[in-house]
Amino acid sequence: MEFWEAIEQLGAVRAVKSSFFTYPIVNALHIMSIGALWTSVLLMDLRVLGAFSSVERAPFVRLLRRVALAAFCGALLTGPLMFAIRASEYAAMPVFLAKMGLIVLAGVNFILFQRLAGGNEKEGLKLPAAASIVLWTAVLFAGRFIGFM
Amino acid sequence: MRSLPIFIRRIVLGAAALGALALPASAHHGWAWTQDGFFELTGTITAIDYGNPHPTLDVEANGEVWRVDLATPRATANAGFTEDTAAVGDEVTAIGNRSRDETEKHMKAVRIIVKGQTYDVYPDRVPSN
Repeated sequence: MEFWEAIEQLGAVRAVKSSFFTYPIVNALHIMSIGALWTSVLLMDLRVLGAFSSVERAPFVRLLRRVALAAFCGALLTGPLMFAIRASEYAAMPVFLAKMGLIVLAGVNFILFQRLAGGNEKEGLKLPAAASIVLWTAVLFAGRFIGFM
Repeated sequence: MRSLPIFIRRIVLGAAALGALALPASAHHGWAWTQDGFFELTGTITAIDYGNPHPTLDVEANGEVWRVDLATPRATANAGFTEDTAAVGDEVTAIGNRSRDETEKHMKAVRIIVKGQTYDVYPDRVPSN
């Protein structure tokens, strides 16, 4: 608990907390990142599941994976800053913890997907691709609910 | 493409399940989590947390500490209630809407009164009088 309170007291965190403009801007950039992440993940996973078969799979997936990773970095830069403003409160919220748990699951799923993608068996990729859509959608919903709890 | 509807159904179900889980709890955004009628709380300020996303007051009344949410920092400041308007130890009256969950000592104020001054942080929602 003291750790979270110490984070709330950091100079940069206090500056964002008391700002009129920075907080909504950070908030907007976070939404932008999540939107880009969700869309690129969805398109990539749908391609793996067999949709858009007229588009060549490998370069499509490679491009969208790059977009998704960049978007995730954007979310990673902005999210913790908003969290830090009321760190001790958010850290105690079940929906926040659920979101973090879902991100970990999505990460494990991504690693699993990458491992399987190394082999020749493409059918086995469908399950992690479907799980990825479900997990990232759940992350987005859980994230939005943090503001409403 | 054949198998897509199943996956889409799963996504929708997953999201709906998550939403259903989250619904009974209270919220900071909006008013859905609060009771319709006005609620009035008078007590002593024990903490002021002025900043994003919402400034809050902790108010002790009858031995219980309430959390009072205000508007956004800008709307609250526009109402005249700034970081320096009140101090810990001041008496405050908060008028607004309390959480539907009455075990929760939590309300969202539309009007606060400190040292005889009235601040309407949600001017379009204050009780008509």
